[in-house]
Amino acid sequence: MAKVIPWLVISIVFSVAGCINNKAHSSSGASADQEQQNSMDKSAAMDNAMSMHGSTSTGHDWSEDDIRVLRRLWIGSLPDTPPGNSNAVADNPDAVELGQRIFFDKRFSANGKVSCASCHKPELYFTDGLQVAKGIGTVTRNTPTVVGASYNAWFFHDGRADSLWSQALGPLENPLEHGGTRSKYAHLVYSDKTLRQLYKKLFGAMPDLSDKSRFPVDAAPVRENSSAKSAWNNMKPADRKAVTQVFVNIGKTIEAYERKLNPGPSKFDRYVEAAINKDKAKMKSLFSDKDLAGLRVFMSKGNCMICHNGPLFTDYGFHNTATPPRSVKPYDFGRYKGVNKLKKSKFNCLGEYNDAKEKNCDELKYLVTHREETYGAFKTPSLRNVTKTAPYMHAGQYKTLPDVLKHYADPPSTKIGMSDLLPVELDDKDLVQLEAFLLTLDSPINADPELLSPYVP
Amino acid sequence: MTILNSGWPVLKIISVIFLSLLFMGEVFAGSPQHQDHQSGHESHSEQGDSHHGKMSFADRENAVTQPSRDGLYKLSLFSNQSPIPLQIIHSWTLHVETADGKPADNLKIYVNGGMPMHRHGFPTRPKVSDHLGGGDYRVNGIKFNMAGHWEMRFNITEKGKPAGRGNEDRVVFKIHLE
Repeated sequence: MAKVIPWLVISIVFSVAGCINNKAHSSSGASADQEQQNSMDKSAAMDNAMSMHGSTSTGHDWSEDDIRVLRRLWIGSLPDTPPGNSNAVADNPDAVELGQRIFFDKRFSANGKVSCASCHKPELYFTDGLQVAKGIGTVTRNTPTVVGASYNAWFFHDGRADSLWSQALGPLENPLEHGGTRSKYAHLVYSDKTLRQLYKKLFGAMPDLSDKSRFPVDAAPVRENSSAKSAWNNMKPADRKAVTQVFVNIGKTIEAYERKLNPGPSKFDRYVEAAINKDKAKMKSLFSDKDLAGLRVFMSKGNCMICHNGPLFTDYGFHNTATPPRSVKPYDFGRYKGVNKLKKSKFNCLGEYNDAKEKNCDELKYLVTHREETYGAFKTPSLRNVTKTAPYMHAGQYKTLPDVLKHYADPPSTKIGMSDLLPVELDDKDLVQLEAFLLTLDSPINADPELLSPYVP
Repeated sequence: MTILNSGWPVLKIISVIFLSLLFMGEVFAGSPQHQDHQSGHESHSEQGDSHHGKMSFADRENAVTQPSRDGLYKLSLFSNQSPIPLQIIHSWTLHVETADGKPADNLKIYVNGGMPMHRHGFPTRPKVSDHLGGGDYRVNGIKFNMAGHWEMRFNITEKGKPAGRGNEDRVVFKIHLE
């Protein structure tokens, strides 16, 4: 036990110092304990940095370990679009066409003024430039891009959907977004010759919706829309199911379309290719000293790669990064609420609308639900084309990239839950360099240009 | 230490106590059994790293073997998918023997882990849910969302016996993914 006490003291000092100030390690006249603490801290930081970038190489000289890390971030490491197992038409060209038609069609809303593209604007990398999204009303979260979305296991900032098709259904019935009802959308497809033909080709003939007493024009199980809800409750279960199936199929065509939108190679990717080929001249022509310094900060002391790793610069996971809550209540608890909504959703992987013959719902089966990991946590966004997706964070809390970088350099105390952030020491120069590096992630969308605007026959 | 960067003093205090206990755990781990565990791990890692050029843990041949903290068991761990994948849920096998080398089949095993240096757990909640016999247990629901230093921790209790020191033992495997 005698050995325990000094360690206990050190660990308490270490912990308390960390509590008070991440940066409080430079004071003079350090005691033995302090010195030990400093060296522990340094070695932890070193370990961390080594695990991040694995070497002490400089300039455009990269060690083999560095190259391995760079290769993992390279777009060439992005696998093919993962199979949309729960969606039988995920890769069907007719579904892409129907999905594209619906994506840009404002009739798919309560007031005929909102389409998916109202918030997911192709010219803004399928975001809207607003702090929080505006449809029929105003929601509480920032519009995420749909580019590269098919690589995710979870959708929405809180991951309350586990497929891209089920995600697409959310805004369509949200009273603040498209604000419509599934029966309205089913009637719309039913009454539009082109949409109905495409639908038939993909899913077989539509149910006969002509009897409006059986199939009201506005019916959906939406709490906020009492007339639609009571119309829904008056329908026969089989009719409700028929309408829901059409609604689900609409979502599946939107997924088929969105699967075609992926990020293309950026300057950073060309730099990695030059680094792999050890082509110094090309590396220098692609990256300024500032870009390069920023990349090195990103890979080492910035700790950025703890979450922003892999070819889309995201771990596809959820983290509490101490982002300040919006001033407007209620507070947003992120993933903590998202997991409950996901488990209750009739459209989740385990539900009857999953097309897979053998359902693989391991993500749901091994879902992280406990509070410590989910409270105030939001999904890590991709950093590709980050210059086009401002404002930033789940509720658009920060207008510019420098604002975001300042947040990570000196995070505020968390208002909700506990922050996952590790201490970093970044000065203003580091932040300017990091921003320069992030600019190298700009790229065109890797998609047929015809997919970036409303469908033209 | 920013994990402690909470606005709530109470949470800070709890965190300090928690971290102190963690450090104490390290001190306890300085006992002879722990040294065995350390050396056991290192010797096997070396062997594992060079075995057919495959990574440690990559398959049964490259399993890593360690004694449990109190020496009640000898455990071998390996991935059922090789190479060990990123971003894909897969399973591992934990083979458990008693200290005298007999397969241990009557155990309740809990698993957790994560990236201690990043202070987060697995992106999934894995479970030891299948007992395969012959001392083998399947660890389901493992997912790594990035390369780097991971830990997989097991808590082992003999079925029918109350939890607590003497009946309960634990082991930590350190896994470096490239």
